[in-house]
Amino acid sequence: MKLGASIEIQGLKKTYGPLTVVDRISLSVAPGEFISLLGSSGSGKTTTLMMVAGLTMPDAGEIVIGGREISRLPPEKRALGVVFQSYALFPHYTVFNNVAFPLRLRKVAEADIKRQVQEVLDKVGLSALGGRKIGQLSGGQQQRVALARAIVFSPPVLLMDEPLGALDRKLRDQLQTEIKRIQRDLGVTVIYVTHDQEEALALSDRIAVMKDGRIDQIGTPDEIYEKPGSPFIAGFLGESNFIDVTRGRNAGDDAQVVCVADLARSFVGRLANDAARATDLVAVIRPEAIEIAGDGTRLDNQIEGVVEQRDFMGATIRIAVRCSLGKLVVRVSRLHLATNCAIGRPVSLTWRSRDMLLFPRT
Amino acid sequence: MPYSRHQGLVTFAFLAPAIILLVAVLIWPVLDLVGRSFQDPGGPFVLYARLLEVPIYLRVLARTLLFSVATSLVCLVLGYPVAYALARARPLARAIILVCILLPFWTNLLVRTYGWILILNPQGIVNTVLLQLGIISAPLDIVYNFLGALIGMSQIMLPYLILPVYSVMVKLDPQLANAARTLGAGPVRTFVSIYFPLTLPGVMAGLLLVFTISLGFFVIPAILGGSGGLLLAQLIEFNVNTSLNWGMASALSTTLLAATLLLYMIGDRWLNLGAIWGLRR
Amino acid sequence: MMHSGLAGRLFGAVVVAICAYLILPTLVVVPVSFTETSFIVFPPKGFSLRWYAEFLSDPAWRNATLTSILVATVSAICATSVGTLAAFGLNRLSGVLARAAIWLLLLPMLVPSIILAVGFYGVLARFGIVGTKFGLIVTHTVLAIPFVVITVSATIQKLDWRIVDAARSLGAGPVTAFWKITVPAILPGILAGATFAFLTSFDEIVVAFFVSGVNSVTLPVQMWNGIRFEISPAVAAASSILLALSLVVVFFVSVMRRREETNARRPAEIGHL
Repeated sequence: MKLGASIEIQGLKKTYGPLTVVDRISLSVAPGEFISLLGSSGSGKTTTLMMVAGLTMPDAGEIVIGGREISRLPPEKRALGVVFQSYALFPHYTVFNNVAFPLRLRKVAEADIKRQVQEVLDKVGLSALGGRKIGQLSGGQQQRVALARAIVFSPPVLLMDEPLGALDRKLRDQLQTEIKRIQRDLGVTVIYVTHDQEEALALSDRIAVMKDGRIDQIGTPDEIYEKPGSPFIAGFLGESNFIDVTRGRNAGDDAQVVCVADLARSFVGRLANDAARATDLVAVIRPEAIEIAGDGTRLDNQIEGVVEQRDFMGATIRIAVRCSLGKLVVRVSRLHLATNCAIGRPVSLTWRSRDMLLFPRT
Repeated sequence: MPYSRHQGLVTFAFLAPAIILLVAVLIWPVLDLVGRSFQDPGGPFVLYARLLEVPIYLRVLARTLLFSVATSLVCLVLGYPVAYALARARPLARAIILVCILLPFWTNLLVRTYGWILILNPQGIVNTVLLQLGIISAPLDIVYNFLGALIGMSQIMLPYLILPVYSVMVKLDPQLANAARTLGAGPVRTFVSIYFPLTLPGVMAGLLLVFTISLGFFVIPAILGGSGGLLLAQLIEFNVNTSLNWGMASALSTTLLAATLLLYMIGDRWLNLGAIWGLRR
Repeated sequence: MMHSGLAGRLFGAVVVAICAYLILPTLVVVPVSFTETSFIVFPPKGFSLRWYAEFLSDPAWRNATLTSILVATVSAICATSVGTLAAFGLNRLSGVLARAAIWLLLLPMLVPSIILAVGFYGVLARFGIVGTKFGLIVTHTVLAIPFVVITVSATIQKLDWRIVDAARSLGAGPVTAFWKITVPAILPGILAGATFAFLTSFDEIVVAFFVSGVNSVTLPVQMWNGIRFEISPAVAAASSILLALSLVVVFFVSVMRRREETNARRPAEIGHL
């Protein structure tokens, strides 16, 4: 089986009139890596993907795949697999003919086409549906055909543009697992565009978070979740509490800060790299990093408040606590919730200084 | 049920004035005309037999078919790119193209015909410009003949091709062509295998409309076609107004009517012409 | 498909050329109508309004214009009333009956006008009433019915029938609800239909060519004579006036359409406040 190719993107840029959609992006992807471009609409993620695919011409920059510079090649000469958000299946062809299309173009012998198409349909679990017309398939089945068609000619790189965007939650989870399995089997390099952070966290080896045409942060899912590079990313990936604070005194990487909303309160938090000299800061705390100090636990920081709202989420319980800083959201495991947290009850919240990240306020 | 009978009466009352008018002004006169074609003293089919025997009639029928086919093809070749541009253009360009299509469409037919004479006649714009540029030494013979009629007719008929093709194109996912490209098809192959086949319903509907309307069109061939090669509609007019041969006029009319209605029925059955005119059922 | 570089520019040039082919024959009449010469030359010489003056003062042109306006106005009123009612009837039908009704109502658009003209001419000739305005008005009414039915049907299909139900629930009888609620709601469609009906009659030549005698020559017939027998610039002046009329009509209809869309959107906007 063929191994995926490396991708090197250098200074890629695209403008539409006065609007810079992709602003000098550089990115290198290892062979066989699964990388997600994560961002909201207008962040430039799809444009980046379309430039790699050859469907949008970049204004500047290089794209090197497997050592070959391709940024000026037409899409048909790039031989990359692309899965489109709308699937873009040919409605006048059967499932079989859709998947056979790239092989026919490559002048593969009809007997080999038959075998290869059957193989790939087996792989995506559609063995019996080769004779169907596209209009007779469900959304999930269409998605599988689109995937089969994109991988049947063994491209070294697979580009996917929100491939699960049109499907319901349950089907998405199921297809996520299958996409991951197929990618590992083939060893193909994947660039995956999505606005769904959970999807990106679940699938990717690395995630590139995009904002305003640039890559805001790139790293493994763990890195990005645990050490978000900015308050924006902390809010975009998962939920976070934001507290406006001003700087007190430093102690190494840690700093003592005073809350803007309640000057009597001070906490200890960890300075992010670029916050070293700023005075106006914003403190970011994940809801699951905050504990309810019912049984006497006392961590680096503490505050008292009253339970305002309580949402049962299944495995966890999400509690909103009103305190002198405003509203703090806390997420605790259902099993670890010792204290009675009924609405209106006073509670004491506590968290570690290393879980409170300090960023410069903008 | 009395309630539903009442409802049916209301529906009929809404439609009655239109039906009465249509029967009195359209259906009765046309059936009367069709009837005349079978009332020759020599027998019911004498006129049709003559239609098939006399060479001039056959020649006119053949020329009419040729004219309609040529008009349809010119409209396809010119209209398809415009429909594509219209489907993909940005708002401003699209508005400009739409004006170019719709303004002539709603302008008096004779204004446009007259415009063509101004452009094509021996002292017209085309010949003046070409002569002054030294490209030609004598005026081109491009009006008052088959070519002139074809040039004018194609322009009149273009909207009938562009609009159905456009309405199919805008509904196509633009990613389909992109997908074909990423799978290895060049631009030509993408067009031949994917894009064109998917626009075929619109193309067929447009061709059918242009062909059918051209078969019975009178004004353009009569003015721009000159006196040399008559077409079917002109032959009918000639029989009514000049040779006063009502029998032959009615036989020719019946032939044209049968061909037209047959083509529209095919179109309605296979291409859903009603939807093109905005009446969805 | 991507149009980049040379191929895209070439395609653009082709489309511009075809658009020129579409619109130039319509526009070319304007410069010619201002010529000073009494024959047609290109490029036109000088600037004068003499052909407009001729158009306005020559009784043949003036009478033809008045006849056309009269015939078009009356047949537009008739076709709009009859066609609007028919569109409502059509909306209440379904299945085979609806298909049959659509065919019947579109028939005037489908039958070649030469056949309609000859057939109608034959009937009129039998009663000896060729050359009257009455004959023109009834045929033009019938010719315009499909356009009214199509335009009004489109509006009816988009109509939110709940507002009619609401009126009924508030105590309006069916007739009151129809006149107070339904008709105002579809008025833009009716007006657009009336406009198309007017233009259909105003532009119609084939039936007029057969049916109009010396006493009811319409503007298109007068133009036909002008084009066939003497290509004088007066025809260009008449053409320019007709072109201006179509411009006004196209503008009017697009404004109507926009207003219709605004009306449809208004409740949503209120909901936002």
